[in-house]
Amino acid sequence: MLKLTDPEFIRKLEMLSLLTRKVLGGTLKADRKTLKKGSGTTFADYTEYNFGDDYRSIDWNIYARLENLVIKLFELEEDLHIYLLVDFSRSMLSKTVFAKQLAAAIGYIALNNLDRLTVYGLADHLQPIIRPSHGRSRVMPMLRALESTECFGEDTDFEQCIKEFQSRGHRPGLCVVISDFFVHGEFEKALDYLVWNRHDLFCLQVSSPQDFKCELRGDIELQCVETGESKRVTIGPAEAARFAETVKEWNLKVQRSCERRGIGFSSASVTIPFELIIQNILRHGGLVT
Amino acid sequence: MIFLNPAALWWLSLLIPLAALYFLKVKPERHQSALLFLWEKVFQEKQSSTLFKRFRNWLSLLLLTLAFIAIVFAMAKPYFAGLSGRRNLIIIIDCSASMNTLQGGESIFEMAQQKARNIIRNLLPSQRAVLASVGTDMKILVGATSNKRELLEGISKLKPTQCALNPEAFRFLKKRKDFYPDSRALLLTDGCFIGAASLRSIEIIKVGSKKNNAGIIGFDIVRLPSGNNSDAGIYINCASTYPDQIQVDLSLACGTPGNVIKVFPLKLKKGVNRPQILKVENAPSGKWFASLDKPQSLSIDNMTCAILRDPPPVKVGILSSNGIYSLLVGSYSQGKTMTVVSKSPEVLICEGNEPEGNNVDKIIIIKPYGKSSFWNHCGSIVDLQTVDIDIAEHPVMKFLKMDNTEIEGVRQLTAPQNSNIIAKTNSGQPLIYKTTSQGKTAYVLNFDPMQGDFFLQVDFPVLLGTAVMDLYGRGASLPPVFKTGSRLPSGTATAFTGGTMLCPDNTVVAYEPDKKLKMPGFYTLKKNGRTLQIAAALLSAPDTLVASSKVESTNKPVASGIPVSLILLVSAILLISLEEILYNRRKAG
Repeated sequence: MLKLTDPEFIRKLEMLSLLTRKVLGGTLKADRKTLKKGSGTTFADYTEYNFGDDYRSIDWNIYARLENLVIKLFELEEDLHIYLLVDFSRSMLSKTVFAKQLAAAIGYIALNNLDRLTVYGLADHLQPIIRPSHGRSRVMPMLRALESTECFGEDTDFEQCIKEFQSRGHRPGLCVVISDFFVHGEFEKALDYLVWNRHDLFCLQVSSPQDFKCELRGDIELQCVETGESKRVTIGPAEAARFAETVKEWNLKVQRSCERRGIGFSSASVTIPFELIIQNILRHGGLVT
Repeated sequence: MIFLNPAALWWLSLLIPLAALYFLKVKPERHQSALLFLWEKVFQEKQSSTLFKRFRNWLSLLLLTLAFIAIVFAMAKPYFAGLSGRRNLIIIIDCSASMNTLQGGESIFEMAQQKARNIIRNLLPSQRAVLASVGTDMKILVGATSNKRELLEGISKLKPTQCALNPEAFRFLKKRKDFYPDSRALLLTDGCFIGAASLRSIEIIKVGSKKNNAGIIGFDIVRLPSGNNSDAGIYINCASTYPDQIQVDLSLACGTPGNVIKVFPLKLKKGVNRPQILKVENAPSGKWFASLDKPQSLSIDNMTCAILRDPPPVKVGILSSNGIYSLLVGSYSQGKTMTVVSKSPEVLICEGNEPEGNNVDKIIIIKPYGKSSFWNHCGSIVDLQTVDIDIAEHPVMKFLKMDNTEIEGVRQLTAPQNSNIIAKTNSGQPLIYKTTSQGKTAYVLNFDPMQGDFFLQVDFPVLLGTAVMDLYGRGASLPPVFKTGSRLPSGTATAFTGGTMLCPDNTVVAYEPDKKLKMPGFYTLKKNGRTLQIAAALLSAPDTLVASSKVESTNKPVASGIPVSLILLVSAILLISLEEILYNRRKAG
């Protein structure tokens, strides 16, 4: 397994960053184009001169021809707030490395595009991993921070985590939630909170073949890895098949919930290399133009 | 119920620690899962089997406990004391031919063997048993022992014979009974032998049930005294146990079983049928086979064999001035059955009276006259008489048609008291009779064949021929077929003692007088260049009427069947298997 700070891994991230182009709002000049007009270098449009406009923007050639004062508008180049919310609950134990790789890839792309990146860990509470950071120089600290983060908490409480996220007064930006979405309670409310707060939301569901296939047979005492709650069951082929069906139904429910809310959704299996997933997800998920 | 090994019951005290071990064994493994909430969804839909699941461990424990108790009880060796009386046993297995009968794929003999095994397996250590077989005689196979393995091996070595059971064989047991006091004699038999009902000291355990069968129970083949001496008469007797009359074909073959000479259709009724006399023309001498075409449950009685013999001609001496007797004897036998000799005759034909100093012991006297020990008084000739036959079936008369024939030259004669008068005249004068005196046997023909030209009739040479053959004694010659299990007549046996005997299975054994013909088929005896062929066949009505005898089991209850310990062990295995299925379900889903 590659470490996040390995040169090889970073080379892969560099390749991915070349693909990213997206127009979103921001306050700082960055490599990213926005819909706002401002003081950039790329011409966008003309508009009528009004009192208070910068007279340096008047296009005197137009005035000479048409005797109307018009000013040139330029595309405003802004930075983007990207929030990575990575599930670090114990249900992600077998998928943490993969989730970290995905988070590292997206974070690298964000920092490389001079976007503002914030990374949080989700479990029974919100745990900051990277404070809001900007610039390419923050890539290595971001990778080290991700690498050193382990699973925490005793449950997955999305709602509580999002409430904590909102209470920190973050500006709207692109929220990427990386999780298996195996949440005992309601997860839709948490998504709603983010949508209501004008975040662009993208859910990336991490899955493993073990999630669908149950190899256990016979009398088993199942213990929840998060809550410690246990239950005695007898698992036979019928129960195993029914379980696989239930997991599929649950994943479908997560996908439908996202679709209903206009939230981008993609699922990623740990069996597929993360770079392929990032390419596909970002292309088809709408994050990359 | 009594336990032979009650100490084994102490093992029951291990039940509680074993139960504790059981609960440790069935404790489920703990596995961590992130998807417990989804598993709960799965099992919410299967609430119906919860009750069974809750008590499943207890049910499983109950099964194991029962299995453990069964094993401990089996080790304690329980038995039911009141069932058998528990005396020593003499187990006799019937090895007669009828025990070869097949019933449902196995023979009655195998069924008897299995019953005997079951009895032996149930023997107590204190009980002893003797294993014996009975067929043509009784043999003790295993002497009194409590070693079950030895007894079981003895049973396995037993094989049924191809001979009928000899009821006299049971006398052996009476003689030896003193050796086995306080013992019960059990006979495992199908009851197909004579005298089964009179076996009071032996308890009969009947094996097998009634079965349809038909077979040959009597067979004989002899040369008929016809003009050319080439025809053969066949006597055949069959029996059937079929409830209805059946039609079978009797095939007669000569030389080899495949060389069929003639086929006779026979209708067989239930039981022993009336004998049939069949005639085969131009029958060659040698080996003959008779077989029934219908396959039966007992196959050994479907085929029989015999030897048709052409014995050397009887040397006949004739003391008469009339040469017609020599002519008649010569033309009748054509040198095959009789030959006229001048010296050392075996049978003497004389007119009037036997000559002085006669040392021939078989005599035919024609036209009796004078004094003789073969008649008490010989008077004058009476008038023309007619023949009145007293014994029509007599060997001398059965081929003749002399009834009411006119005959002349009959004298008033008184036959001795020991005479067997075969024919008389209408006035009561003895006409043809057989008598014995001073060690000599004679036929007296009280008439003159020359008068009325009686000698020209066909009856006279036939009468002479049959009288010579009867005097010479066909009975002295070997029968065409012997019953299996019988010995050769002492004369023949003595003649071949020290020689060899080629048996039907092509084995050659040294011949001894007490050698029995145990197999059906042809035997060849050889000694000093002299060869004799004999045939043997079952020919036993009780064996053919297989399992139809009215003999029923007379035994008192005897411990047999599968031993209690074995039943307990098998039950334990079944219980453990059942528990294993439950356990496997819990372990493997």
